[in-house]
Amino acid sequence: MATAELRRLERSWVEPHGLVARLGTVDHKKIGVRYLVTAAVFFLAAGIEAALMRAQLARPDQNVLDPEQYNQVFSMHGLTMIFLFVTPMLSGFGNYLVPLMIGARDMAFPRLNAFGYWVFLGAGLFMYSGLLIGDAPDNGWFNYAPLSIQPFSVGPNIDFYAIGLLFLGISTTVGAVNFIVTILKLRAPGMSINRMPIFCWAVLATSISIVFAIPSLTVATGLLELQRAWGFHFFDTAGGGDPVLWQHLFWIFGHPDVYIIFLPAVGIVSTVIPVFSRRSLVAYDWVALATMATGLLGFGVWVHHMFAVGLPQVSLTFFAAASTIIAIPSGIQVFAWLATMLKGAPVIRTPFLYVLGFLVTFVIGGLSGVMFAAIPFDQQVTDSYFVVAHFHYVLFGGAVFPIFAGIHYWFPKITGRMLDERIGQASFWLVFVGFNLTFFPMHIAGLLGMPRRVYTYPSGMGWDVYNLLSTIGSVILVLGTLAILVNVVQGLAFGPPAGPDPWSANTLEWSTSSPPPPYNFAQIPVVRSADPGWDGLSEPSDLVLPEGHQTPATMPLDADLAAALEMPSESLVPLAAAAAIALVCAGLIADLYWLAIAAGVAVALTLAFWHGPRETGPVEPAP
Amino acid sequence: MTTVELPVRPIGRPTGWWGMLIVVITEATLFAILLATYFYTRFSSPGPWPPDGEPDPRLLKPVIMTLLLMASSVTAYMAELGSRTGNLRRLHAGLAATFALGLSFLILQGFEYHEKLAELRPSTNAYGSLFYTITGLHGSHVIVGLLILAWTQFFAWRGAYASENHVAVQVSALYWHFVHVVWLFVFASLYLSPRL
Repeated sequence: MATAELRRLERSWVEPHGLVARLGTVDHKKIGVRYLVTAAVFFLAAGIEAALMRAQLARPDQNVLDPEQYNQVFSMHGLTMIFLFVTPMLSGFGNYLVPLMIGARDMAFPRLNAFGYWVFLGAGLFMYSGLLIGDAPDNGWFNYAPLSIQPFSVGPNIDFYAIGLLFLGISTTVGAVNFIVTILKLRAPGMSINRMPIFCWAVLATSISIVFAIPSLTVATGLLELQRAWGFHFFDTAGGGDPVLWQHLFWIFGHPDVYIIFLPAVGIVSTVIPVFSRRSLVAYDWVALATMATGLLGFGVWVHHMFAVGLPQVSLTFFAAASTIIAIPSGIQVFAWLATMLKGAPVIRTPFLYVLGFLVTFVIGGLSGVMFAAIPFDQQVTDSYFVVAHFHYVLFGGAVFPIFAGIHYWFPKITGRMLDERIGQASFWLVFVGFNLTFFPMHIAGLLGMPRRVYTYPSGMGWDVYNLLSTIGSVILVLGTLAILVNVVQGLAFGPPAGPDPWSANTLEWSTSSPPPPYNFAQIPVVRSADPGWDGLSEPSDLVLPEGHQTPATMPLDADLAAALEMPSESLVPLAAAAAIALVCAGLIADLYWLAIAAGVAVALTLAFWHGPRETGPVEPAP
Repeated sequence: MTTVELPVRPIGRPTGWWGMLIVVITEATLFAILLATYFYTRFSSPGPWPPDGEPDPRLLKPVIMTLLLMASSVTAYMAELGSRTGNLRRLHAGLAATFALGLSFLILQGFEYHEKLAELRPSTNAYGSLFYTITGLHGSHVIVGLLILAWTQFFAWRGAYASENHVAVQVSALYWHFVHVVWLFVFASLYLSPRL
């Protein structure tokens, strides 16, 4: 490539300095890092809430928290972990990595991407502002009616829940739209759909699930807020409604959401295992299909959250069968990973250790999950600590271990520096031991009858020792998390340079420098297999597109070149639109309807300004 | 180094169209779940439907509203065709007609609400809540559609969609078709099904 062309490319993509450029950036890497850091801060907040609960439950009859505080703390812990940590954390990985993995220069809609981040931040702060004034949601993360409506809920607590989740749903939805179009339209030439990295398959399956699942949450929270604010009737029998309706609406969203959380995490696992086993993933096609099948089947199992409600036996049987079937695609993936490790020559490094930790905990959580599909067993342990143990094994084991693996694996790409291997391995053992010590005893406490969500318990129930063990475990878990934090801080300051490809990996993000330049790839890569880093055939092409912010678009299945797209540069409009929506929410919660309406008009005006035709006009194809 | 070549003309649908398609899919799911909620409430409530002695909804205005939206989808398609073939007169006429038809729909809905609110309010019972929530949400989609059409029209007059750059027209039309099709389901569920 001519040096002059490279210089033109660099000039086109240079980002101006200053506050406006910083707030208005649309670079998917910067937005991705923002997602990762913000979600990590929410993780620490949720960790503090968890520590408070474990302190309260360490021994019987404690008074660290009063009952109302305890309700708010466990509700915020669940809401934060699900909505403000795991989902956005994985969005952060997706934002940073998907364009790099598919050889693109940005997401399909860069300004929408920035908008999604600002909305996420606003919604998170909105939900936490309830905690600051002592009126946070206090009815758990699934917020069953009728405890969520008058006369059982009088303060604004549940309004923070309903309006906050409506607000956050915008961010999740636009993020999913962006991922789907990016993955279908922006892959590098030659990366046909059967050569796409498994992580991208996972993000695609997750995004499709989001498109169909979030509307159900939107309906549930929207109807709830209409009932609370204006006296509509949906969930109260006196007005002709039905509290069980809430459970259906919530879990039609809520169970797919488990896979929305789990699939990208599994995508990280399928990425890390081949690299550290030094061979391609065994049964790539099956893993890709299993990923899509899990997303699809996830929509057919929601009633297994409601086995104890009193629904007709025939519908219970159907959903029990569906819940058993969903173990099949998960099993396919587990065996593909095991075969990859068996056929390869594994090299133990911190990311790989965390993946092994994932395998152990996830299989345990999966086994207790299959137990719930047996209806009589489920009815025995419903609302007991056995359930708490199970879902921490699948969610902490299934999502947080892979996230920790991802942090250690991509830290060199994102920062250009290596983490310390000894601190990394030490952190793994602390997290692994701490996790199992915290959550394994909960299985037993649950089987002994300890109900979840109680703020304290009397002694003499036989639960004391298991609770004390859990609390000791949580201290070790906190130490492990702190070790990761220390490692990240020291890595940023003193880590040795990573170079472009410290792991000799197979995917495209490792074929550019660490951290990557604003345009990601100087020459658009051409892909010849599912392992472009290893096949010896995939290489940079002569396509540079040095003018403006251009990236090639390709056809959805075969990835033949279709067009060159002109991408937008920095803009403050996404931030303005998100801020206006935040004002709408503030107006609604404070009953200042004039503010909500004025802010709504501001939203419309910003969106109109955003969507005026661009001045640049149609892009001429390169000669 | 591998040599690759861009096609002379862009092939396939633009990314903006794909984005709007997915937005429409998620919005359609939203309405599907609301209508499912309506039928869930109906079939889990004992006694006649509509409840509390409420008569079946009258059909005259809603039938006219349905015809208006059906016609507006045809005119939106005309506008699309006009922009694709460079026939600017057809583009402007199509957009204007779609806007006028959509606005008439909204005005009729206003009259319909005015009449209905005298006997049934959203806070009366679950039937009233669902009726106004679902039709109200659809009405707000009509308003958004009209704003999009007006904005597209404004730029059409300034000549923005003269040549190949007609993505905005295509995307606005796609959204408008959605507003039309989803109304057919709302109409069948809320107005026709109680008579079955």
